[in-house]
Amino acid sequence: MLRESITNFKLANFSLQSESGETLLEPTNFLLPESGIYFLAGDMEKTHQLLRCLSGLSEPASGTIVLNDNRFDDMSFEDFLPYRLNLSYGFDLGGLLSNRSIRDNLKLCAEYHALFTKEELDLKVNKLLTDFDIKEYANERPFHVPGYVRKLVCVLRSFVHEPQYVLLDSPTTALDSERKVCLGKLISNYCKGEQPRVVIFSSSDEFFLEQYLNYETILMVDKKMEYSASANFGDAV
Amino acid sequence: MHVLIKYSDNLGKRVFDVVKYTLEAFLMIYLSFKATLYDQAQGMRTIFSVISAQVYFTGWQALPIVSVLALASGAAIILQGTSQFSFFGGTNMLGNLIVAVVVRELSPLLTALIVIARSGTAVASELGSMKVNREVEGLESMGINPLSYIVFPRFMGGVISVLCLAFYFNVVAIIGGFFVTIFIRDIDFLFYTNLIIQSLAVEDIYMYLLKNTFSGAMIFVIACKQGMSVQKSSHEVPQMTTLAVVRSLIYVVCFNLITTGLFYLNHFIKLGVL
Repeated sequence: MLRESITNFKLANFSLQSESGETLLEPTNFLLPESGIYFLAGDMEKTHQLLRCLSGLSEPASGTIVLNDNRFDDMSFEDFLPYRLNLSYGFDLGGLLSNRSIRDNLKLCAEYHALFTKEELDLKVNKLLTDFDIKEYANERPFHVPGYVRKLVCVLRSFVHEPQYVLLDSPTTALDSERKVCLGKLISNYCKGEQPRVVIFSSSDEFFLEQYLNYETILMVDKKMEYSASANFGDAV
Repeated sequence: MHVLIKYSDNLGKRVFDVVKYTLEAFLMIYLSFKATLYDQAQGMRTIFSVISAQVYFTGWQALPIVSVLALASGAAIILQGTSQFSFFGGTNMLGNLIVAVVVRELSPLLTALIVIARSGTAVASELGSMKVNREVEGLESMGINPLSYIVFPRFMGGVISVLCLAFYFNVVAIIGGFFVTIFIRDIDFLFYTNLIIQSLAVEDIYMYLLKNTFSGAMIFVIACKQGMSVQKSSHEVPQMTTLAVVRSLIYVVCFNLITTGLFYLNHFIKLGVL
């Protein structure tokens, strides 16, 4: 399966509403970054909804996402797929398949879409399992492993097929400090490669934010969205 | 007058809901076929492995209970038939009775009931749990279409299983039922098989294919549809499972009735009665 490189990722007249109908984000135009690590600062409900919309799992209250000048709401599942393979989303209770082992869950996306050879994939997955010290659980089913392992695998699964954009929703929940260090290193190293890559994460873990990552901030406050000290898409036009 | 209008309005809404649900079920079948066709990543090997697993669970594992039901119902029909027909010398009608009752009616209906009870509930609750655990969302986020990965293999495996089980039911009911009844009534085996063969017609094959294909399709698409309807809470899973069973039952019974009615209507037209 061929992946489509994302050269232009923006929000067009994009707004969000809570389930009760309250406006969380007013209609905004926003150009997402092309490389680097970004912390999505704001109320957890807003950041959670935004990340879900960016990954294509839900629709905004108004407006749309534009990828390489293609509107997301004009695309079918198959049309969006080449972009989706360059967008991964690690979320809480992240939907590990209960009838597959931890190892198979990690490999699932890359294996299904034949993005790597079997040997390359096994190497990547084994390295992750070793670095995060969860190799003993590799052949267990998700409901037979501790909660922190399930949570960790949901996050790690987002990195295996090496997408251009990695969206993480509270990635450090239930992790101990050692694994938070490992995760910080993984995210930092991930964005240092030759290919431009972006990791956007939301978190309420102040310890993780202060200690482990060199990041920039996207603020979601007062129903607006902006970089902490830079222009948005509207100014760029 | 107001009550009559209100009653008519409610009736109309229910009919509309039934039609809408039926169309949505057929749409799901179409979309799952389309998604599988367009899904270049999912090779035939993956599809066949899941289909064969579904055939094993739905078909192979149901053989014992189908055998018991088929033996019992076949034996009962044969016993009743020989007992009643022997009063007026109509033993030659035994073949017609067995084909009409067992092959055309009991076999598709009882097979469907067993599959609904065993597999319909399992598929609906499995998919419901997957929705609650956000596994379906996880698949979507990885670019794996749930319709081609989950729905299509279960649907195809279900249709194949129901067709095979119904055929097995017919064989066991006709042959097995005979061997149960020879301890009570003495019937010549060759005479019996000749009666059966003479009573079978090409229309019976069409009826078998039509009824069982529709039953298998509706049972599994309704189970998948209800399972995927679970929103967020695990308490919805048993509710949707129950709905899947009830709706499958209604669709299967009604379709069997309509098919039988149309068959005999056609038969009477050919005979010149209508």
